[in-house]
Amino acid sequence: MIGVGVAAFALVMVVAYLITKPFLMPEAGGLRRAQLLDDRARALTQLDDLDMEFETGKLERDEFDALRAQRVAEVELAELGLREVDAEEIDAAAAGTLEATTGGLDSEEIERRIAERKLTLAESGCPFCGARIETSDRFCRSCGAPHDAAETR
Amino acid sequence: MAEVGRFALFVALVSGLWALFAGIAAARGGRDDVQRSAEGALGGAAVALSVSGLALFGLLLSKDFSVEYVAEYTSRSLSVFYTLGAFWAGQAGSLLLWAWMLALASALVVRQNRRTNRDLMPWATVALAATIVFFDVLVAFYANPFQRGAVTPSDGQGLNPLLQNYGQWIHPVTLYLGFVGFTVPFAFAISALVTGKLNDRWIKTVRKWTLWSWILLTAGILFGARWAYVELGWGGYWAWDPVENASLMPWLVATAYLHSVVVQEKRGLMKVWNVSLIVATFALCIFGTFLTRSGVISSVHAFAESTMGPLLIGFTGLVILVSAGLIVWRLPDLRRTGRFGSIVSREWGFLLTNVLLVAMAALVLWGSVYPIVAEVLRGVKLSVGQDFFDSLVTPLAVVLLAVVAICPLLAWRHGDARHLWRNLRIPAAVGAGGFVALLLGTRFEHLGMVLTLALSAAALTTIAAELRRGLHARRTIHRESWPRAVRNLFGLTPRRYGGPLVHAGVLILLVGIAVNVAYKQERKDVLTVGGSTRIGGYTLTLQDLSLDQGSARVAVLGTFRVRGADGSDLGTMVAQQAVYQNQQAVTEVAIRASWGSDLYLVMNGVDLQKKVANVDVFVEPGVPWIWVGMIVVIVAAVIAAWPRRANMLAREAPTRGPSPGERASEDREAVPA
Repeated sequence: MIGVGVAAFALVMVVAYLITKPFLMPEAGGLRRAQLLDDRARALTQLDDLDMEFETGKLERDEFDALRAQRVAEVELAELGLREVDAEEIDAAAAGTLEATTGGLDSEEIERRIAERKLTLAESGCPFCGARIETSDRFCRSCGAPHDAAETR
Repeated sequence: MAEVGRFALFVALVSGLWALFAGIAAARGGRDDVQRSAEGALGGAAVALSVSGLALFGLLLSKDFSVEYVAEYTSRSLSVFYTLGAFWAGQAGSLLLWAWMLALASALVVRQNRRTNRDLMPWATVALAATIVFFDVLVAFYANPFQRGAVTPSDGQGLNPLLQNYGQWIHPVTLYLGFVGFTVPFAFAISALVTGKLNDRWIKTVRKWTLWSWILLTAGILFGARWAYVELGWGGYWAWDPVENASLMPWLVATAYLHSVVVQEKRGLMKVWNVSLIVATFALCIFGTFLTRSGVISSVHAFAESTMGPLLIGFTGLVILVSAGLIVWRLPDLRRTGRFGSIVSREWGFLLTNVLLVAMAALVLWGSVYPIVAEVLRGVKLSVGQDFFDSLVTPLAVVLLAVVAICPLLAWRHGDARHLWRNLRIPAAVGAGGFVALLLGTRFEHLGMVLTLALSAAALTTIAAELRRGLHARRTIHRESWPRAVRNLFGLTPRRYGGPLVHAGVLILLVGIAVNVAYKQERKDVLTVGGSTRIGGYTLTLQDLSLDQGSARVAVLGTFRVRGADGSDLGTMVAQQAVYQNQQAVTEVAIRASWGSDLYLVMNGVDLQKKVANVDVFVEPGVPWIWVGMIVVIVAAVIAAWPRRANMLAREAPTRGPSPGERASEDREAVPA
């Protein structure tokens, strides 16, 4: 009987812990980034699928272009969101540093670092002509240079 | 242990109710901590129901006959394998399995969506919690497996001998997992409807859930057919029994969904249809449970009548009402964003596939419920025979075969007859040639079989051509070697090329059925020891009747010598007739399988004194191919659904050549037809 009581008590405690935990320890951030990464992965999968559809003659050129543009736009949107999230994190981190080290960094230095980081993020264009490249492109749309997708991000 | 199991059921109920109401509060108030608590409660229900489930396993293993359920379905002599399998031998255990698996699935959904789909999760949580609560109520208040009996018997009644087959560990479990799995797509569909987030995200989120549930349901149905064949001793594998139909209906509708969802992804069409199909699949899963568990229909599965019929039909009605209401409410947002293309386009092919599958489901539904309707309206008891289903479903299946042969060749939207003919001429020639040859070979008999075989040949040719085209495309786009192209074709585009393989499995299975229906032979005979009977070129001689006495059963073994048409010795077959401790008598079938055909032997009545046995012998051509098709379907579907890392595409990308978009203008015509 004592065993039953202990087991029942333990079960109630576990369930109570699972239900109350979110109130005591709220979930850390990063939700938006996870969603964006998920969206991007899905759109990329679909792009590959579309290529095969087109190559095997299941899609006409105009339909293929329209669907591809749609998926590329989804990838772009996710990329844009990811950049924003990155920039926000840099801002937040910089603000944190500023607060922690009073007088350590001046606002100009922070701005310089943010700009530097944003520049790094934006430097995913064509290495030959600098034009912007979509993640899924294999050739630069501007100069036609072959593009290694692994370098994109 | 029974008390712990029972208490855990109530903890699961409280936890489920918390998930339900906290989910509603979070959906309305938008507070993430409340939603997380609701999700935690789903995990809590999973923990509690796991305790209940493990407690029942423990009670069965310890053979605690003070618990009614244990006394009813096990006995001291029952092996551990079947003792554990007795968990889902009865109603209470089956429903506990439903609730338990659903709670585990819900906990998995929560884990998968910790950081994604946060906007869809509240209402999905509500739908999952409501279903868990419903089944938990059934288990806790209407069919509690932890109920103690008034007296404790010295031994249990034992497991029904028919259930003492390895299938007991596969068929019920996979079927239940399939039913349970469809709750997840349903929950997300409801969430998408309530929140109005009706873009493709909910569909993509539940894609794997739908596919795996479909695989489990398929495996459940096919293993059930195999079990019926090897265990029941009637030489068949499908009887349109209401309980079989109960699993076939959601399968047909889910199969329709798997096809039409592609149309939504590619063309932005059939949105209302897709959400309706997911709701219908789930509703049919619950309705199937009602047909099986309420006792309103008579079936070989012979489940006892219970009081939960009104609850199950009420829940089915509620699911349909709420979903239909939501769909009507959201109709303006579910407007299609594309247009149907020419009549020879792929979307029309998919639409026709859907119409055929849903029509079959509707016919099966009508055939299954008609006896209930007739009894309610006219007060007559009747049952719908196999002829009804055979004569109505078979023609639709044959048309579907033709669609399977043609549809993969169609292009989206702009398909034209000239392009179609270019791709279709080889499959059409194979089909037509096969049709003529078979018609002549069979002397114009068995037209249905000839048509099925010819269309299957055409469809298999289409599949082979599609795979060849896909491999060629990979080699062109990605400059891959043949082995690498094969690996990546299934590894990177699994749904597209796993699909045709599933079709191939279905075709093999249908060919097996068609051949079996056309050429099956049966012979009943009474043999004394030394006597023979002939069937389909075989001669079976009863050599000996002997007694085999075990602790749990007494069996009469009949040993038969089998000879071929040329007199060659093909070995012996041993059929049994056994009587179990609980006085249940069963026949154990003897099957001699070869690649093309089974020799199937049942010994019905035996008189040991007179050394006489009643035998029923079947020659079953094509049956082995049904099982080959079954394995191909399951393996191919697993390939299609196998999880792959999202970054595989990124890793593959550097090896790519020019994009099709860029290359299109130059070599569009070079793509093989």
